[in-house]
Amino acid sequence: MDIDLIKKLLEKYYEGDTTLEEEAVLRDYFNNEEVAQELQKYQSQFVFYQQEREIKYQNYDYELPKVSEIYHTRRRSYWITAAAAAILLIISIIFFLPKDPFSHKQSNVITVTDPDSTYRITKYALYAVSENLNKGLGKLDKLEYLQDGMNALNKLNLSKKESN
Amino acid sequence: MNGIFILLLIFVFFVFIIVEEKEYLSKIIPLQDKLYRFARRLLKNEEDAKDAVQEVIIKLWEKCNMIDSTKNIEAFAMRVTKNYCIDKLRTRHIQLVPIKGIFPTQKSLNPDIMLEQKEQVKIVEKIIASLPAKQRAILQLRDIEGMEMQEIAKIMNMKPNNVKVNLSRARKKVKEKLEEYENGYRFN
Repeated sequence: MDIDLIKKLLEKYYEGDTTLEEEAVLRDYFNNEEVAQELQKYQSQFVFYQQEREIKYQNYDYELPKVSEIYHTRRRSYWITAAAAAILLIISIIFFLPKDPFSHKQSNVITVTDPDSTYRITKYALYAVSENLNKGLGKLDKLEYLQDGMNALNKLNLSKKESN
Repeated sequence: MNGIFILLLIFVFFVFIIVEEKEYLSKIIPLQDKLYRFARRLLKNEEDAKDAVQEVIIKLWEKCNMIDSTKNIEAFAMRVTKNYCIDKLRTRHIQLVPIKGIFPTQKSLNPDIMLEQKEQVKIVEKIIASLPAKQRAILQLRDIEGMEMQEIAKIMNMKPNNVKVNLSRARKKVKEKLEEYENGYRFN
């Protein structure tokens, strides 16, 4: 390894200007190579940093089980709620789904052959439909309120823009 | 029909939470070593450092729903550790913990290293322990954990330039004290 390069890097190192790659070069030099006499006074710190990097928390016996304990208790409670939700789901499927979806349609069918009464009944049915339709359309009038509100909001936005 | 749909949604939601938390935990556990080393450097005490890691992991666990999992969990965890340790240092009235004999002797030393060097490495440890907490933390994050300046700035809640100044100061201090030691001045 070029000693001059190491010296230059050391200078940069003490100014805090080295990149991570350059620091890796220094660490590698002081840990794995024959260190020149004049640079030996710098060696001990890099050796120390290398040692420190290898310290592991897992070496200590009792920590990990503690973490997994919390993990298990929390997880179990979620599984219970999830299971409860699943059971509710099944119950609701049984109760709310109609048993035979097509059975009630059959009972409403009327067969008419007489043209007069056919006309009457059709007219009556169409009136009923239009009445219901109007009822539904009446509700849509309320949309105007929404439009009013939106207009007010737009004004608000405009005034915000102006103030900006 | 609506009821069933809502229940289905709830169910999916719970399954999602379980998967999410499992994933989150798998991100925290590999960080333990780093957190431990950091806490150990700041608190200068192994027992306290172990407690700190426990506390921090529990804290992260409690906050786990609040943190956006796409963010950098590592930096966040380190910041939580830093804050915890600084608080601990503040409440620990006696800042003047005797440095001597706090750490056990290193077992994994390379047998090739001479006795003198072994002693010198211990001295480095003492010197770093004598630095102010901020410099100690920055030195640890940079020289031992090898983090980018930006990341350290985020963890320490400082400007990157400020981090650089502190880092340089800490490194120079280590060098100076080592030289002093070399010239015959001994630490107690």
